[in-house]
Amino acid sequence: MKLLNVKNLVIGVVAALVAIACGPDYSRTEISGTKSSPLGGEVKSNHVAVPEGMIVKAHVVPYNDDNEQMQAHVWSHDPDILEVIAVVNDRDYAFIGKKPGSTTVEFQADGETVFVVTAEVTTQPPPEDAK
Amino acid sequence: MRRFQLSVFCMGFFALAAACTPGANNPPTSSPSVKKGELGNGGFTFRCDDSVACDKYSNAKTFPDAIALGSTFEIEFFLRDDWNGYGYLRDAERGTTIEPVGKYIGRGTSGFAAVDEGTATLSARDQKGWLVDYVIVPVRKPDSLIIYDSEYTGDNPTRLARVTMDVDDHKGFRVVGQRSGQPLAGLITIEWSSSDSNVVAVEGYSRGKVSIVALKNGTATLSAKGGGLAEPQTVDVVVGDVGSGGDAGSDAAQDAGGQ
Repeated sequence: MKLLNVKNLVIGVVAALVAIACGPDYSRTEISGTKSSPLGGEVKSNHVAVPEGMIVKAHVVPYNDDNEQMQAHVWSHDPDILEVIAVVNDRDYAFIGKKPGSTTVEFQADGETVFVVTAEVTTQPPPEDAK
Repeated sequence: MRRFQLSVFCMGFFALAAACTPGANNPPTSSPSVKKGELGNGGFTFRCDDSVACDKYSNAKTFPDAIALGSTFEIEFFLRDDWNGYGYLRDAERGTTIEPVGKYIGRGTSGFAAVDEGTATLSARDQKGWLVDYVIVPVRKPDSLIIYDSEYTGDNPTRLARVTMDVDDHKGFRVVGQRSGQPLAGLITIEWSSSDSNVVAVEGYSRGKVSIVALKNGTATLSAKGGGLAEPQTVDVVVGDVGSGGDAGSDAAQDAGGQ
């Protein structure tokens, strides 16, 4: 009788471990619908660039390996250089070039950091007719 | 008679109610006074004027292509009204604020001030700080100033070079900035001076308008300095029957100022 209980317990623990191990994990982050500024700028999974005084918008969606959307959170490590704020449109983020410089931007999925990219705020070129 | 009074009262009441309804006077998105936000969530209007005769109590007829460096202005944001169709705008929800991005536009004494030359962005944010929409406006340094009659109400003023007045006449002038022949929007703060304040004196300067008075016969040069320009723009003021002066009036410059 006792042996049977131990056996059941072991099976249960193993089953639980298997269930945890096989749960959906983070798979990827898709960055799409990027709207750059008239002076350029980009948001990619390996680099963010925004001209000073400009906004670049991007649609950011992390997925798990069941291809389900995860909760995204994007934030800048130096908002005085590059500020990242949510847009009222679902899953859109605004990357705002506050002043020239470099920083890093952290992308999270369900509260876990999935990648960190370098971000650069570039100086504006002189106005066309001022050259 | 009583019926007439009642109908007048009702008309007045409904007119007042319509005027007081929030959004009743909002511009349609098709209006040239509205610049559609880059995200399509609403529209922005420029409060000042069509780069001439700045009037803070009415919106610009056309959203400007560029703003003068050193000028002040106001921007208003309206939300897209999905309930009534995309063609309509409604007042932004309480708590929506307009924030300039970067160094190009700062806060002025009332509204905003164009403080650095470049391409500027103004963002509209909701109470949570989320971005609702934004608009892009170039800030340009004027290469010339146009002095024009303050009574002028159009959008293409003529540059004045010489004005004749009679003793005790009062006159008003305004200034608009130009770059490469194109007018720039915004109220430029101008420092006015008279070369001979015994002939023509500056009485006052308020909301972009300078008032002068002719005190005695003679000629004086009125100078307007501002907009970051090193050289002032001038207009000769002839008082009375001096030299070739004729009837009281104004002469436009021949050098294509104001087109």
